[in-house]
Amino acid sequence: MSNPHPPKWADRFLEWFCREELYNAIRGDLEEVYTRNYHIHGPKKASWLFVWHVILFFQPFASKNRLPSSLLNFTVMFKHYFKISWRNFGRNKAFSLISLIGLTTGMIALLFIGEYVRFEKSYDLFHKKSDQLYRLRAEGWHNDGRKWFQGTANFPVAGPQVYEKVPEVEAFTRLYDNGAIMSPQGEEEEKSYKEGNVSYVDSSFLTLFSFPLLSGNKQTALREPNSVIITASMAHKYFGTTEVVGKQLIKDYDKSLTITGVLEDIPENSHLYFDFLISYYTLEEARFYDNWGWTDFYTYVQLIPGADVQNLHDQFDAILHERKGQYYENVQAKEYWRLQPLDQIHLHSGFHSEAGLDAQADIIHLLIVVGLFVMILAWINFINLSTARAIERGKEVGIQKAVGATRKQMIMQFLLEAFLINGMAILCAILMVKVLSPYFSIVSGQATAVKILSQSSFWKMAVGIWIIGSLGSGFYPAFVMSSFKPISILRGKRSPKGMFSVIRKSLVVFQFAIAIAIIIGTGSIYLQIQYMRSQNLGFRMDQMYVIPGPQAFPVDSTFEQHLTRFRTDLLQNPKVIKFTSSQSVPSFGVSNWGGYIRRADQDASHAKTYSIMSMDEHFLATYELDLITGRNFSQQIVSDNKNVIINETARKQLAFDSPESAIGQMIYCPLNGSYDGTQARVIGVVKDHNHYSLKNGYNPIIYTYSPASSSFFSLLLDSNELSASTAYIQEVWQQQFGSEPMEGFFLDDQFNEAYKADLRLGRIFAVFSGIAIIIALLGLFGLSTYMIFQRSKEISIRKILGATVMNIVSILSRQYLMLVLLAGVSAIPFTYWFVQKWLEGFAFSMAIHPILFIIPILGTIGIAALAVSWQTVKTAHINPADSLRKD
Amino acid sequence: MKGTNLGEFEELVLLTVGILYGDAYGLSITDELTRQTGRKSTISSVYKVLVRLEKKGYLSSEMGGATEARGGRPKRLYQLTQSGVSVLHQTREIRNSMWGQFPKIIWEGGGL
Repeated sequence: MSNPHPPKWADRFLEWFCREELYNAIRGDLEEVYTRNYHIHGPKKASWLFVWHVILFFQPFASKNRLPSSLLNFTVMFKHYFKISWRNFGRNKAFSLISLIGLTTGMIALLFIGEYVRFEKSYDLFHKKSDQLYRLRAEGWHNDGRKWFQGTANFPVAGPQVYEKVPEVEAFTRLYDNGAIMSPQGEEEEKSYKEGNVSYVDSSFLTLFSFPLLSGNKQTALREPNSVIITASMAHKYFGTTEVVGKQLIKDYDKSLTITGVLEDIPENSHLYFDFLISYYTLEEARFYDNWGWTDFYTYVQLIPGADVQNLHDQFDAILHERKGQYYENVQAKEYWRLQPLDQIHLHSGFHSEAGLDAQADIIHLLIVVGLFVMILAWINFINLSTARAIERGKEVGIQKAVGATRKQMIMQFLLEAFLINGMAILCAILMVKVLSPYFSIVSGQATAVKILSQSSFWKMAVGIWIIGSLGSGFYPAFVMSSFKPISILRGKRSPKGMFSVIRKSLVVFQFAIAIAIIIGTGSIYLQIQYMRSQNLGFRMDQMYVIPGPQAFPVDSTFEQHLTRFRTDLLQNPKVIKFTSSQSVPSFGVSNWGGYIRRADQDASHAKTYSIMSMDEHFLATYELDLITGRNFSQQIVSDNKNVIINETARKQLAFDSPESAIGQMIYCPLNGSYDGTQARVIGVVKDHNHYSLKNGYNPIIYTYSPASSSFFSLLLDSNELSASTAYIQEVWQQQFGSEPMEGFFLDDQFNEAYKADLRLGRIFAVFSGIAIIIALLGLFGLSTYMIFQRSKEISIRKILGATVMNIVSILSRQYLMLVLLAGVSAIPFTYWFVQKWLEGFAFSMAIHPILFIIPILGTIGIAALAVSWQTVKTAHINPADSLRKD
Repeated sequence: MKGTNLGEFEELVLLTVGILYGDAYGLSITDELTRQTGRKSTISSVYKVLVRLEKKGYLSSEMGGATEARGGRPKRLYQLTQSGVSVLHQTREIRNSMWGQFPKIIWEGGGL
């Protein structure tokens, strides 16, 4: 049956309510209309219109008389409840508004957080086979338990090996990231761009992952060497159209690639990001196929459903042992291939030095908790303000009960009130979410957040918040107020107050404890970032302009001449003070070498992991790294290509007693990338510097000498402004390195990127602490206003008896400020614990100072005093005669 | 006399049922109304009037004419009853009589 069908549930609904003699005729007519709309508007709109027509028929003329009479009664009662609730809302406009504003704010926060979390958890789930896909990563451990290396990628042989030898592996693909300069062939305009998101992948890539192809065949597109698939936006960038299959792209000015497919742009919730996919067989060198130690290849495998991961790990161990068992014996360490489920990569990764990544999942949970707390604060406001008015509403309850209302009915009445005000709040919140979504999108970094209202999950959540919130916040007041006994109330006795007011006060304490805790959290985040920024990083960062070296330019004997001319020309300009070329610069990766680096007089079991980078003789001076002892590299000394300079951490890790004793010692160390047993002499020891960020500790770094490194050029300028010298630098660049685009940046911008995630967390916390404190204060304001109003007679009598305004203000304010103080004190222990936990994630963290707690608490008490005193002062100034005359 | 008065929409529906003699059912009436008057009405509002008119005795109905397009469901075919025809006549006569009493001067534009 391929015929289109209108939604079944709507049909069933129609059948349920529609009179039998009309049902068949109406249903037939609607079927005709549906078929007609189906052909004109398509299935979606036709179904929608069908539902709409069914709803239109839901009228008395077409319905059976099946509604029982009690339901009719119920509707009348419902109308009555509704009217009472509505009047009540209007009678106490100020209190209702306080509840409403609080609830709305809380709901906005919760809705945004909910969507944010849902999106973060949706990463990589769009792949049809996502439950079968795993990333195969490699890690290594020394036999004594120390970490050797731990990464997310693997050797180039890993994929093919497990595919061949492990029956549970159905398919694999490798992914090797590399930058490239691309230019279109046959376009009139000559243009080329530096592209960072270029990946080499096996032909199975598109059958494992479900990235949709706009054109091209996903089975064959990546089979041939020199094939490339590009995303739609790249097709537009290079050719101005997506009809590009069969056209050519030139990679790095020499290799011609044929476009065999166009992909839709990569969805935001994918951990893989690329603009170009080049077929793996385009890589020619043997090392891309047979290397057993080069961990730069992301490897993904598809397992048969229900495969036992533990069992697979054992099989992997066997493969590795067979091949490298002897080597492991020698270095006293082992490597492992481990599976990581695809859907956990985004939130639970963090094996790499990518700082902050591993905290992702924790931050998400923290956000949910904070969002819920803010919402709970608002619900408490509603609860407190409702129960505080219990005395007033007691009479109403008494009369209702006297004329026959049951307790159940009274509970209904108060629950309805909760549903009403929560309903109004959720409507306002949805409206505000619509207005605020562009800003939210900026803060959260999720571009899709702009279309938040079109997510069905958003509406489910909104309804959920409404229902749960109404029941949660409505139940206690309903319970309290329906419990009044009509006789005692109507006789004029006060309601049983003691217990309820204790509960009310504890709720206030709870509110302020939460608000203060969030403020302290915000403060710690900002102080820690401030602390890290103000730390001496151990190197010169100001005015440092860094240019990544040319990529397509051949690094041969002429390169050194070009670089020397580039350097001399730049230094002729007075704006360029110093220049150096190096393999890495701070905040960029330095390759880690493990396995055999150790002192020459020690055996292999002492080998540890070190970072190795090459630099020219100007690096130390340009970056102002202090040489503790020994000497710098020099162009005149030929043997310097076999000498190394080490930093303090490396010196300690090599177990040299002092910097001086290290000088002249020999160590096993790879030179110029060659690994086999080369030895190097230590000629200098430099002070440590923070190469990445203060989240990480110092790395043990070994510097080797290379007079002309092509990776990074660093220019120390005479100011932090580039505008004056940019044209000049560009010109010199073009003279030496041709038309390749130059893309430089200031180092401090790059370095501060590392704090971006923390800054964002800080900003989010700042918003929430603002919201939390406002909601709590609104509640306190409402509560105190009401309570003071209740006591106006008492105050008048006190005044008559001689109390001064000051006396009265202090009597009235004291109890509320005590509550806030109590809240502050009770917030300290768990906040302290949290802040300390968070700081443990940083290698360099500030000391937790009491000020961090004292200022938020005193500040909150101060603002609370303002909120309360506005009403107390006013009341204290009232002429006693006025208030006592009232009844 | 009050019970026999026809509303404007009721009158239009009755007339349409007459025009569609033999094939007047919910959807065809709705379509024809739209075609004749140029205004859109929903099936439910037409049904509402049909049910009312049948109760008043101006229309009678029977089942018949199931087709594939309707998923094999029969139509409820309406036709005018004797009193339906006469109430239409009545309405028309009242109008004609009132139109006849219009002063001629309005048509000549002199009075305006």
